[in-house]
Amino acid sequence: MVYLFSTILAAGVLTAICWPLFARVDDPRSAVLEETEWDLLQRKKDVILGNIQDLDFELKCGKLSAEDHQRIRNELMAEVAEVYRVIDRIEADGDLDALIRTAVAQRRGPVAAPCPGCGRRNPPSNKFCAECGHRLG
Amino acid sequence: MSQLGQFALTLAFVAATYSIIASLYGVRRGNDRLIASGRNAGLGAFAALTAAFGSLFYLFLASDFSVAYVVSTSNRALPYFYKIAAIWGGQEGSLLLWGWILSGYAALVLIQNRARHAAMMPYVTAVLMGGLLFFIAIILFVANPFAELVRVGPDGAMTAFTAADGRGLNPLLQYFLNVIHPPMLYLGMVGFAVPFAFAMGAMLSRQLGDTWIRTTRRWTMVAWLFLGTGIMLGGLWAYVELGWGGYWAWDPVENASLMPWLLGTAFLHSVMIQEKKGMMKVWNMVLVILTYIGALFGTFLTRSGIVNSVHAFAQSEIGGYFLAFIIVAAGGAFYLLYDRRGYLKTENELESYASRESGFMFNNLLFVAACFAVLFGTMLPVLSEWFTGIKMTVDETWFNPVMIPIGLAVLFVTGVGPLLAWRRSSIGSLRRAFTIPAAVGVAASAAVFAGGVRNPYPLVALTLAAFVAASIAHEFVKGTRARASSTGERLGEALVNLTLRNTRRYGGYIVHFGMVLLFVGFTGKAFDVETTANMDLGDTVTLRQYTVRLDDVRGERAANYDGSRAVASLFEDGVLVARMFPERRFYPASEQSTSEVAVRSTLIEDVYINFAGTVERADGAGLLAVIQVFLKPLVMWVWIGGLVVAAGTLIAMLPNKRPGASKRPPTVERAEESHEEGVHEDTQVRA
Repeated sequence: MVYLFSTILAAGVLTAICWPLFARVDDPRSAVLEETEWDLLQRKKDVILGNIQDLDFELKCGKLSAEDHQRIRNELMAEVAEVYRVIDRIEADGDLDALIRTAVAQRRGPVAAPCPGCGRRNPPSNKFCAECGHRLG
Repeated sequence: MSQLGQFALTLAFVAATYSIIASLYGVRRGNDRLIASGRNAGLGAFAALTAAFGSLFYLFLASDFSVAYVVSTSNRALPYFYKIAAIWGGQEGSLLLWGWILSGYAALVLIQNRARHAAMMPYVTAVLMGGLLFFIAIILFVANPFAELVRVGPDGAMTAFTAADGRGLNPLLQYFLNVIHPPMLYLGMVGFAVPFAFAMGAMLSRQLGDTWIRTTRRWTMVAWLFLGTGIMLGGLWAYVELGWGGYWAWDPVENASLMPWLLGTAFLHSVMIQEKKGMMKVWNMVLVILTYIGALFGTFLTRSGIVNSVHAFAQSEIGGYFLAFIIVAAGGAFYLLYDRRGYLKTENELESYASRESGFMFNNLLFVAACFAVLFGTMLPVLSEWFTGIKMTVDETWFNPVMIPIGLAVLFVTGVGPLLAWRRSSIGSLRRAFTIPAAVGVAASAAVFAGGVRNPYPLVALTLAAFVAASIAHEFVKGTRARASSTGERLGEALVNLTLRNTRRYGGYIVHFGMVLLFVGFTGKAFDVETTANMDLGDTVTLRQYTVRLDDVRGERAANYDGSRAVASLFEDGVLVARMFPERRFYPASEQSTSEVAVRSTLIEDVYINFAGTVERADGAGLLAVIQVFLKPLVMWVWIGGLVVAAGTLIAMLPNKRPGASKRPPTVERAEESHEEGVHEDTQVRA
């Protein structure tokens, strides 16, 4: 009985470990970039918008004076406007395309470490960074 | 069955080792197959440890006394219910429970994130499995619960041997709460491994935006809830089982669980600053690391035998290994933090001390100060012995004067913090926010003073409790009114929706209210009274308005113990209000005696009777019962406060309800709604 349980357990664990090694990978995951500058800016925008909504609610609750509210709101609006400006600049400069291209390249091939000079991710076959020419290890 | 346990442990060891190698090598080579295989190995480790734990479970239920560990914590006459508690009644079993829980958490994390956070997860897997590997190694090579009992012959030869019966479970642990208290505590302590793993994963993968912090915050809340519940259950166990009338004694084992709880509390607050303002990023990393290290250090303290404790049940030579692991984990984590500090630059500066941000910072300072005070007090006996050769005794006479002021300061900040606006509060805003809560506090103070309380600590504590409770109530009232006026909902509906649309904020306020109740309960300790009497049948003892009469003492036999059960009548102002049955038990298997106290609880006070033993009469004609009577005001509020904290935490963990159909047209801003998931009407502010 003990041997039967042990064998079943070992076979199950071994199968679970080996299965992915031989399975077909349709959707490579390791290449997905989750925190590009673009993502971070979007999240930052959301956070500031959230802060503005909080501020408005605090005014409604009578927690702060109308003057305080207006002053802080103006500051937050200026902050979010700056974030929008950066987002717009990325879009206008075509940096967004570059981001997408990099992401697609990453999905197609193995991930390389970012360039120590500029942070760009190059295909592993590159000996030098395509962006800044830094030698890649 | 012990062979199956041994085999499963070995399999878990191999699977965890493989998981680390496959995950790290896989992420380095960008090999998705290897990463997936490493993840499955982590799940395999959980399956194997489940089998190991199941084997131990079976060995205990079957009373297999060929296994040394079963002999040490169980016996045949032990009821089945306590045989479960006996599994973690000693070193080896409790370590296996720890490892099993850790592997369970790891499995949950791996399944939950199998299609998410691809860059970070292989590192998270490796860190979780690294921690697990340490525990499996300790269980396998140092404190193995499946080791067989052996007899050493005169020639030194060892032969397998089955004992006739076990030595039994420590009678103090034979209490129904003790079946759930340790697992709760472990779920809490072990749970902090998950935030630590995500923090390390984020640093290793350089994904230090807000992904890790959002995931980590939820997991921290889970661990924090379990740990808090475990601590409360421990307090309840001490109260009803140890027979000295208290629920907290600053015992090293208690302190060991309190330290990570304090650090976790600090993190749960400062994480909000990072999410909302992009500040305190390095500090949050430090807190996550310290919380996990604190949990490990607490385990090291209680298991190494380095400090004396009334319930350091599991002392052995594993202390050195733990210390080495702690040094490696802390050293690695802090080196990584130093190396990645460039990614953790703050995005904003503190603008004013009169702001919500600074409230959070003071809160953090206080919680960390509290943690270090607890650590210092716990280590003081050891430190004093090292430096002076004399071992100091550190008990509540040291802790209370240090911890009570810190606790009161925390309570004060609990009330003030939420009243402050983000960024800065002008004098006008402060006056507006503080007037009502402060007035309630002053009124409460006057009432308490008029009631005859002159001791400064309870006076300040009750004043602050009223102030904080009023500030919380004020927040709910203002929020509900604002919501009702903007959505047209009825007040009750607005209150529910207000809470469900921002569960974190309003769940947090409920937690704060629970803390207020806890403090009210703690304050009761200042008014404790007690008396001890050697009583014959029919004798009475009076304490304030209560009189206890000893009516009878009956012998009783149970399978696992022999007992004496006292029958006492409790009179309040001469009127019979309760019959109480304190017991004294003797457990032959472990040759220990315990008291089973009788408690009559009301919201105002507990009458607590302990049958402490017997003494011979002066004339030598028979025995007298030693009866201790304690009057303990407000204790009930500690348990109620604990329940409210748990309920508030559960609410805070709920996902925010999405905006539904409003009764008013969408021109009304839904300002109170959540922003966590980042859904906004951009046009409002983009204009």
